[in-house]
Amino acid sequence: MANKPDRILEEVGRRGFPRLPLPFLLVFPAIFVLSIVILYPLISSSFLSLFHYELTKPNEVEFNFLTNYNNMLHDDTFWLAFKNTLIFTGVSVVVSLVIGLIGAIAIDQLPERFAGLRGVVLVPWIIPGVVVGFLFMLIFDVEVGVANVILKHSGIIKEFLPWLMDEHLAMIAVIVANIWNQVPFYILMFTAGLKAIPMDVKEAAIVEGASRWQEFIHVTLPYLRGILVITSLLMVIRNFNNFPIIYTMTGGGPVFSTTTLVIYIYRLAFEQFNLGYASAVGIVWCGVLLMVSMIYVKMLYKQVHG
Amino acid sequence: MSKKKWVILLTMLTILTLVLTACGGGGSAQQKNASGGSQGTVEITFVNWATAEEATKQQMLDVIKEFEKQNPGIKVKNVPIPVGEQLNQLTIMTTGGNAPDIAQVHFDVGISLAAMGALEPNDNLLSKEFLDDVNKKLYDFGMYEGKHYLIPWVGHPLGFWYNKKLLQEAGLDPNNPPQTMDELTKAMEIIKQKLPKDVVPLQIDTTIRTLGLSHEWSFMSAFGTVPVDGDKVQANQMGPYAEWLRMLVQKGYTLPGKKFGEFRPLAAQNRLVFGFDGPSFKGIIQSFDKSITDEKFYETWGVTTLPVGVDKKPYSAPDDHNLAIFKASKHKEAAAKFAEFLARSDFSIKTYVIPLGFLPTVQSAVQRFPKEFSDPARKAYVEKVVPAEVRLPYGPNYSKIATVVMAGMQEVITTNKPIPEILNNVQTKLEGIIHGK
Repeated sequence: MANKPDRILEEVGRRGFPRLPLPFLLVFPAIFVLSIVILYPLISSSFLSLFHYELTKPNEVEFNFLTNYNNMLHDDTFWLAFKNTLIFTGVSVVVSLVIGLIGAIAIDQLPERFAGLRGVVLVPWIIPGVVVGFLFMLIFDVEVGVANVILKHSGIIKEFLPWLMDEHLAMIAVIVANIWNQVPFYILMFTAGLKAIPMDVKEAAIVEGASRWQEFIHVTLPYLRGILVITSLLMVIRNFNNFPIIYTMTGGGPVFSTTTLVIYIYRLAFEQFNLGYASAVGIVWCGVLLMVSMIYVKMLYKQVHG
Repeated sequence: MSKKKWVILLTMLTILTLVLTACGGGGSAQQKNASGGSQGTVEITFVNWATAEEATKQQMLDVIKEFEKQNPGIKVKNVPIPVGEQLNQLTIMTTGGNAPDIAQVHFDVGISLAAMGALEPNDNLLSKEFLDDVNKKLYDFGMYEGKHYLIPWVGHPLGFWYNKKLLQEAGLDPNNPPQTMDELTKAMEIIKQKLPKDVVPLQIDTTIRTLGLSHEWSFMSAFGTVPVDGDKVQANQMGPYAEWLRMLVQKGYTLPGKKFGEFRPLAAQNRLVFGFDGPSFKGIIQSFDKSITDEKFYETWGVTTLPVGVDKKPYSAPDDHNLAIFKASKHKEAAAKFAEFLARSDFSIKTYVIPLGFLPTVQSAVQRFPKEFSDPARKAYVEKVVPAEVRLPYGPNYSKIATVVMAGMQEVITTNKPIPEILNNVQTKLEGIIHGK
C-alpha cells in the first residue's frame, strides 16, 4: 500500500501532473546544484579545450579540435609540472602518513590529564594555506630564515642555503611546509582509529607473549588498514589540488621546479590568459583526479560493505 | 528510472537553469552607470591600487573627494585592487561584462587591454590644453596600432640609487658612482671584500613576473642585447648579460629570487649599496624608518642613471602609472575629466604626486611647483632618468614573453647548465610566441 506522500503525488498525477516518486523530488535540488557548480564548468571547460582561445586576443578565437591536447604532449613544462605533482603528492602523503601514525600512537599513550594536547596538535591543520606559505617562506628565507640559522648552528651547513631559489631545495621546502600543515589530519584520523581497537584484543596479544612491536604489526596495523588507505587516498586528492602553499612560497619557481599542474593551469589561465590550453591541461588533470577518486570511492564502498 | 522520468528531470533542470540565469544577469557597472545615481549625477567606477596600498590610500581618497567637490555632477566609485592583480582583475571584469569606467594601469597592462579591444582611444576625449601639456614621450609609450590608449598620470621611471655612506666605507668615491657596467662590477667586488657580509651590493629583480622583466630590461640593454626587438627575437645573443647575471648570484652581489621591492627594507637598514628603483624609493625608505629626514636621506643616497654599457647610452624602464578609459564606459567624458584632474590639477599634484615622491607627467607642473620639484633626487630624475626611458615590447604577448625570458634568467642563476643551451631554449620559445613557429 502506498504511503501518505506517495498518495499525495498520485493525487497530483490524477490532476494532470506527472507522477513522481518522493525520493526523486528530494534528490532533485542536490542534482540541480551539482549540475550548476560542477557539471556546467566541466562541460564548458571540455568545450573550451577544443579552441584556440586567448583572452588577450579575442579576435583570434578558432576551433582547433585536439591541437591543445597534441601541444600538451610536446610541452616540456606540462610534463615537468606533472612530474612535480607526483613528487609533491607522493612524498607529502607518505611522510605525513608515517609522522601522523607515530604522532597518533604517541598521543594515544598520553595520560588523560594531557588530553588538551590533542587539540593543540591540530593547530597547523586549521591554519589557512596562504598563512602557512608565508610562514615557511620566512622560515626558509636565504637571509633571515630560521631554518638556515638552526642548520648552521648545528653544523649541518656551512653557508646559508637559498632554499627557495634552488631547484632541488625549493621542492623540499614546500613539501616540509605541506607536511607540517597536514600531519594533524592524519593524527586525528589515526587517533580515532586507535580508539576503535578493542582493548581485549590488544591485551590478548600481550598475554600471548607478543612484544609491543608484534602487537603493533599484527593487531594495531590491520585494524588501521582501512583508515590508512582511505585517508591516504583523500590526501592524494587534496595534494593534487594544493595551490596556496606552493604559490605563496615559490610561485612555482625557481624556473618551473615547483610548478605543479594546478599552478601551471593558474599561470596559463590567469597570467597568460590562454584559456583554451589551460582548459585542456585542466581536463587532463581532472581525468587523473577522477581515476584516483574512483579508487577512493571503491575503497570506501568496500570498507562500508565489508 | 524510466525514460519518461529522465526527460522530465532534464526539462525541469533546463527550466530552472534558464530562470536562475535570467535572475542572475544584468548587474554590470555600465548598466548601473547608465541609470545614474541621483538626478543629473553620473557615477564612474575607478579601479586602482593607489587606495589598496596604505602608503598612498589616504592621499588618493582626498584627491577623489576634492574632485567630487569640484564636479558635483560626478561621483567616483572607488574599487581598490592589488597592484599585482591589475591585468588579471581588469581582464576578468572586462570579459565578464563588468568593465570599470577608468583604471590605474602600468604600461604593459594598459597595452594588453588595448590589444584586447577593452580600451577607448584618448585623443578625442582629452582637452587640447591637456594634450599640449602632457609629456609627449610618455604619452606615446601608451600607443597601440597608431592610437593613444593611456593617459600618463604619475612618472615612476627606474633610476640608479647609490649609497654614499657605504661607498665611502668601502673606500670608494661617494660622489662618483660607477659610470659603466665594468666600473659597477669592480665596485661590487670591492664592496664584497671590504663591507660586512650582510651588505647587499645590488638590487635586481629576478622573479618570473612582468615586473621582473621591466626591472632587468635596462641591464639587458646596457649589455647590448634585449630578448625581443620589434619582431626580431635575439635571446640567443644575450650571452654577456646572462654570464654577468650568473656571476652576480655566484659571487653574492645580489639576493636571487627577490622582488625589487624586497630590497627596500635592506636599503632602510643601510645594507644596500646600489638600488635600481623609482623616485618613490625615498618616501618608502622614510616610511620604514621615520627617523630618516630628507636631510639624512640625501646625505646617504644619491641618484643618477644606470651605468652605461657597450653603446655608452644610459637606460631606464618605465614603471609609470597611467589611466585607461574603458570602451564599455557610458561616461567616457566624465572619466576623461577625472583623468585630467588626477594628472594635472594643482590639488592632485600637491596632495598626491609631490608628497609621495612621484614625478609629474605634465610639463607645467615643474613651473607651477618649482620649489617642490627641485630636490636633488627629483631633479636627477627629470633631467637624466626620464630622457633615458625606453619602451618595452608591450602588447598582447608581453606576459608570455616575460614568463619565458624570466624563467630563462632564473635557470641561469639557479643551475649550472651551459648558458648557450638556456638561451637557445628561450630563443625557440620566444620565436614560438612571436612568430607562431
